[in-house]
Amino acid sequence: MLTARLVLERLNKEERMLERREQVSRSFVKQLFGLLYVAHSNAVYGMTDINGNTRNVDKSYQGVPLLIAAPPGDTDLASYTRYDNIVHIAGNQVGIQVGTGTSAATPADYALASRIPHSSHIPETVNSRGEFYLDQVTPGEYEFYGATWYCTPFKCLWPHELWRVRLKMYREGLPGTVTIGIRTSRSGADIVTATLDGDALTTDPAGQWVDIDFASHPQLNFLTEYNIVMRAPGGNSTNSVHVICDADEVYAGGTNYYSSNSGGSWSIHAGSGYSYLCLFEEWGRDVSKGIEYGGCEVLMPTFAAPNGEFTIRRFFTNVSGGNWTINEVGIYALGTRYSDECWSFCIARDVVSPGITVLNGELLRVTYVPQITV
Amino acid sequence: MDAQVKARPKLQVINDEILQLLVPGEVGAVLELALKDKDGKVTQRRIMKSKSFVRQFLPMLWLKCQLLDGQNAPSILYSTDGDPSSMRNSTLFMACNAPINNDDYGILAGSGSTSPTLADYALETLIEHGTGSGQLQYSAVTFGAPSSDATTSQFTITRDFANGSGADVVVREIGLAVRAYTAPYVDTYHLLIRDVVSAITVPNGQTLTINYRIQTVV
Repeated sequence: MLTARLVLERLNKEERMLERREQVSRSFVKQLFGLLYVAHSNAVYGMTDINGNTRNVDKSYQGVPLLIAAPPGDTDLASYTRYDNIVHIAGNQVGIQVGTGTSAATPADYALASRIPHSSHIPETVNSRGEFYLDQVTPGEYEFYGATWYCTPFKCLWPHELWRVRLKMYREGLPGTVTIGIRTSRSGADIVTATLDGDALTTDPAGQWVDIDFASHPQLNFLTEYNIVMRAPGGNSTNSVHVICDADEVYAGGTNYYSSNSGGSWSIHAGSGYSYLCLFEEWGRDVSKGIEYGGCEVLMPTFAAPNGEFTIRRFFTNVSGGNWTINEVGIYALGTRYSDECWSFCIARDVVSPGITVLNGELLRVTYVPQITV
Repeated sequence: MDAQVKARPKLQVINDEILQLLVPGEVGAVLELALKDKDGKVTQRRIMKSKSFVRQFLPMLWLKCQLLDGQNAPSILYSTDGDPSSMRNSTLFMACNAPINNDDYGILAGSGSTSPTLADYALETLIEHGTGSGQLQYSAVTFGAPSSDATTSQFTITRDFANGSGADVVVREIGLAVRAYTAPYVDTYHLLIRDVVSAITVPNGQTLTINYRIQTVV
């Protein structure tokens, strides 16, 4: 028989114990058996991920159903599924989780009722710079107008709300209104747009940095690619906007694309020995209130007949500027599919009653100890 | 020979409702034994709480929780041969989908009667596959997909053992072994569960169906 103890310890900054709770973990849920079923049977099995979506999980080649050990915070947890198919997930999405939900656990639970997200800061009230590219190995530029659109991508390495994009531009003639949109897919819809008066841009071919501020602020997610899509629909070849680029870019997050049909289709602006990327900056704020997720450790088993046990442990640090009351704790495990995909699945959810309040600056150590007894 | 196993036996669901023998918080198994005559009629049935995840289960679960693809683990597991194994994560890892005629892994039957201990790494006396004296014919292992009701989740592992030996065969121990792939590239087998049951006699021509229902209760 396997049982598990759940231990919650509240510590001050010096890691001195302030409060300790121990209870029997009661709540391994159905998703645990989904992953064990995949492990035992080698079958493909449809499971519900932490976002409520059905995902087919397998363990083809090197699949890792039931992986719990994870790096801290937003650190990339990379794994293989088949041959060289690498999958990525943020470390905080795997391993022990905490939340504020109070509803009783059921076998059908696929996520914590109200998970506290990972965050290492007090919610921000001023903009910080996120992704940027300011190198110019070889000076270059691109001209957009009418149905000729231009796109520069970036990969988000810091989850935040997007408030501002900066581009270096100049005008030729009077291009009229310039629209800057942000898209997750170049050919998809804008998730936010802003306009500027193209006729007010400099005519200096060196260009000027232009701040493009958005009235609404979409959330940019970790490791997701976004596209800055530029167009001046009222312009033409003599009334256009020129955007300053590096013609030999060395940015790991992507390469420019251009479109001659108003974004209906796109071609990469690269070729043998060159690739273009706009000089750009994007600015925003991480306004989420969360708790800092440390790495999730899975310690070596120990045995003392008739028992054997091992420890799963994670530290949480409250640097949110306020208090958190933890009412639920759980474990998310990684499941994979050979087709280069991975997801988190909730395998345990325990309600902690009464909740344990972690003050700003304090730590919470959560420990699960699975144990077998013969 | 009066009995033969099917290549893929029909999954035997003894109860439509999930039978709950565990207390909240436990992860364990319900062991079901059904003895059937030549016509498939159940002549004897037992349902009990499986008691004995043995030592190998815990490091296997531990490895599953922390081992990345392709990595080798320290030698903390013992194979059913009693050898320490340095396991490598792969498709085979923890699989118990044994094919027909295979008595290396999957659900296994034995005749040993010594009480289980944490250190057990194999059945005490394995009943081998075959039609010779004291042998049973092992079917392929089949699975029932995970299901749940308001409090209980489970999935089922099933195997048929047909007696074509010409005489009674007595089963006293049952186990579940899984396959793994250990460095350097060798298949090994590891016992996760060993249960000793009061003797169940499988007459010649009859079939013993064993279900392990891996279960947890909220």
